[in-house]
Order: sequence, then C-alpha cells, then structure tokens
Amino acid sequence: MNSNTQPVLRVEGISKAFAGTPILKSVSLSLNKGELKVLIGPSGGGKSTFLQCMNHLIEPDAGEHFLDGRRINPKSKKELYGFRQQVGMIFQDFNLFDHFTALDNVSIALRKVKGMAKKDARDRALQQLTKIGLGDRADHFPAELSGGQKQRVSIARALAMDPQVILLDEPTSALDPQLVGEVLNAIRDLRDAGMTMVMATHQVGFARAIADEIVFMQDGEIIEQGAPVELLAPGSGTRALEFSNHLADL
Amino acid sequence: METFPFITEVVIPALNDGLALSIELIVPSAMIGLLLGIIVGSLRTHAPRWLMKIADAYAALFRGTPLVLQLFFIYYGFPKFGISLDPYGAALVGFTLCSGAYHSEYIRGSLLATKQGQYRAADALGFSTFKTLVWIVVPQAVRRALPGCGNEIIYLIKYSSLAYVVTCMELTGHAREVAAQSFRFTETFFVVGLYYLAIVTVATFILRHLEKRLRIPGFGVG
Repeated sequence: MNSNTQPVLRVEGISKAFAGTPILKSVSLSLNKGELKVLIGPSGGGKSTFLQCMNHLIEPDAGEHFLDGRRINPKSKKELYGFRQQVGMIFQDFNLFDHFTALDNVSIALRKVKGMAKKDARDRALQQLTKIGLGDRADHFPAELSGGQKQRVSIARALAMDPQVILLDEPTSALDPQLVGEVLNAIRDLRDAGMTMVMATHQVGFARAIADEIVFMQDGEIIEQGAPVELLAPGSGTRALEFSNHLADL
Repeated sequence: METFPFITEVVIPALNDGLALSIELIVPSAMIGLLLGIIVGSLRTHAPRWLMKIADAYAALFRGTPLVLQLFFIYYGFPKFGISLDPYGAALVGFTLCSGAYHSEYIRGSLLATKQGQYRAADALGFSTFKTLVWIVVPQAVRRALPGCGNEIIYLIKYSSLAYVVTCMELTGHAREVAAQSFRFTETFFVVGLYYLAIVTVATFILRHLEKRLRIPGFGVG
C-alpha cells in the first residue's frame, strides 16, 4: 500500500455522551503522513474529548479507528495497547510520572511496554532528551523541572516510542507565558521532521503559521475545516476567523 | 532476692530467650504483611468485581474481629479443617493476615489518591492495567502510604505479645512465666515494657531511614 495516498490514522463517526449529554456527535477525521491538523474552538466544544477518543483513552460510544487502513478492534486489549503505542499523546498538564527522573519517564515504557533491555532503553531515552535539549536534565525529577521542561520531557517520552501519530491536547495551556515558546519550538521541530500530528490549542497565531489544516469544533461537531490561508483569510466570514479574532481581542 | 539481681539474673535471661522468637515473629510478619497489604489493597481498587469483593471481605473480617480470636481460631480451629500449625506457625499466619488487612487499607487510600493523569499517561503509552499498577501507581502509592504502614508495623510489634495465647513463648510468654513463678509482676512487666520500647525505637529508626531512602523531590512530604 502506498502511504502517500492512504491516511495514517482515520477515525470515523466518533460519538460520545457523558450522563446523557452528547459531547461528540459523529466526528470524523483523517490524517495523512506528515500532516499537522489543529483543532480550535471554544472550550467545552469537544476538542479534548475528541483527542482522547482518538487513542481510546476515552472509549467512544460509537465510531471506528483505522491505523494504516487497518481497523482497530478495541475489544482486543492487545490490539488496543499496540494501537496506543503507535499514537502518542501529549497532555495539557504533562502527566509525567512523579516518582521517576526525566530519563526514567522516557525509558520506562520502552522497557516495560516495548520490552527493550535496560541499557538500550536508557541510551534511547537519553538520545531523545538530548535531541529536545534536556540531556543535562536527565537525572532531575519532575518537581525539579520547569513547566516547559516537563512538557518537553513528555514530548521526548512520546517520541521515544516511535509513534506514527502524536496527539497534543492543549500542550501550552498550563504554561507560564514565557515558557510557551520553547514548547512551540519543539512542536515546530517535530513538524519539520515530518511527524503526523493533531493538536488542540488556543494558540491561533501558531496554528495559522504551521498547520496544514485548521479544524474548527463547536458543540461536539466539526463546523469548518480547511487550510489556514483560506479559513482564516481576512473577510472570509468563517466562524474560525470570528473565533480567532475574538481570542486576539482578549 | 533484691530487685536488681532479680532483674539481671532472672528476668533478663528469661526475656532474652523470648526476644529472638519475638523478632522471628515480627520481622517476617511485618514484611509479608506489607506485601500482602499491597496486593490486597491493589485488588480492592483495581481487580474485577468478584475478586474485589473477596479482598474486601478478607479485610472486613480481619479488621472486624479481635486478633486474639483470630489466633485462637487459627491454632485451635484450623486443625478441624485439616490444617495443623505449630504455635509459631499459627502466630505468624495470624499476625501476617491481620497486618495485611490493615496495610491494605492504607494502600487502598493512597491508590485512590493517585492522580488520574498518571493512569492516563500510562494508558497512552500502551501500558496494561497490571503494568500500570506495578510500575507506575503502586510505587507512588507505597511511598504515600509508608507513614501509615509504618504505624501498622509499630502496632504489630506490640500485638506480637499476643502470641503467648497460642503457647508461643516469645517475650511476653516468658515474662508471664517469670512473673507467675516469682509473683514479682511489677518488676517483670516493667522490664518487658522496656524491651518493647527498645524494639519499637529500632523499628522507628529503620522506617525513618526507609522513608528517607524512598523520598523523591516534590513527592509527598518532599
């Protein structure tokens, strides 16, 4: 199969309701290799739920997942664990393992999930940390790192698994303003290296600059979807433009 | 006999005979009890429903009945079901099961206090529930539960004095014997009290050291 024509990850008709309230109403998204799609939209619109449904951290009520064209059977634990190794996730509040150093945060899944030998896992983890500029922080615990450093460690942790896709759930929202830049730079580097990504964010300027596609979500649905130059063009009259202008006014 | 020679020539040699047995009771039941507590605490929070119920029932039974009765039941009752234990074995099993039930409560509490993000991060990396528990959640929970579990171990040291009810001649058993023969209860029990105080002091020191060794920056009391 040709990976240029086949989406790397495709989700079809994802629906989710919490306590009878629909949060996602049959949402579909497809990602080609190397694409970066950015989810924007008001809080509570379903962005975060959608991202977590994409790798089954939240089990959707309905919907299907396809990785490299192959349907994932979520009832099979083995398939699900394998799928998640291929689809990395970056969280808003980092979720580093509090009892591990930066190095162990990156290497633990390599050892216990991928079954790598301890030394190989260490080497690979150190390599990932060095790549993201944190080689000298390998022995620090999460509590000894800044927010930006924690988020970069979590990016290294996801990357070390060698995933096909990375999902980023508002990766800079919990950061002090002066720390946002280092994380955005890391994401830009990922994109330049050809990583396939979906990111939910309120950083519309950043999204406009580097996204292949902007996906505007509201009330559990994708309302608009398109290249930033079209969707966010002045005078385009789109909801996405209205929303991003509103953010810029704040 | 004067008090001082009585203590040095009668009480202390007798107690020293029991001391070794007390320690042989306390150390394994503290360690196996803690391990049991970690397993049962994990089952009570993360196991399938039926297994959770069994673990809950075990904890309820051993936390809900006096240890003396448990020891009687194990020593005198078990043989009726074909399980005969010697006094040492019966006391060891009783202490371990009782201690495990209490430990499981501390572990359960600190497992429930684990941030959801830790589970989600592990899920997202492809960890199974079991691996998440073993590598991520339990190591954190044990650290948080350690002060409570240490407290339970201190209790255990003192309730090990109940072993004499199943004729296991540890410290208190020997003290009772000396006291009964000499009718000098005050001196004898005063000295045995000092023995327990000394054991608890050593245990406290070891537990502190363990807490310090397991301490992680920014974690728990930091």
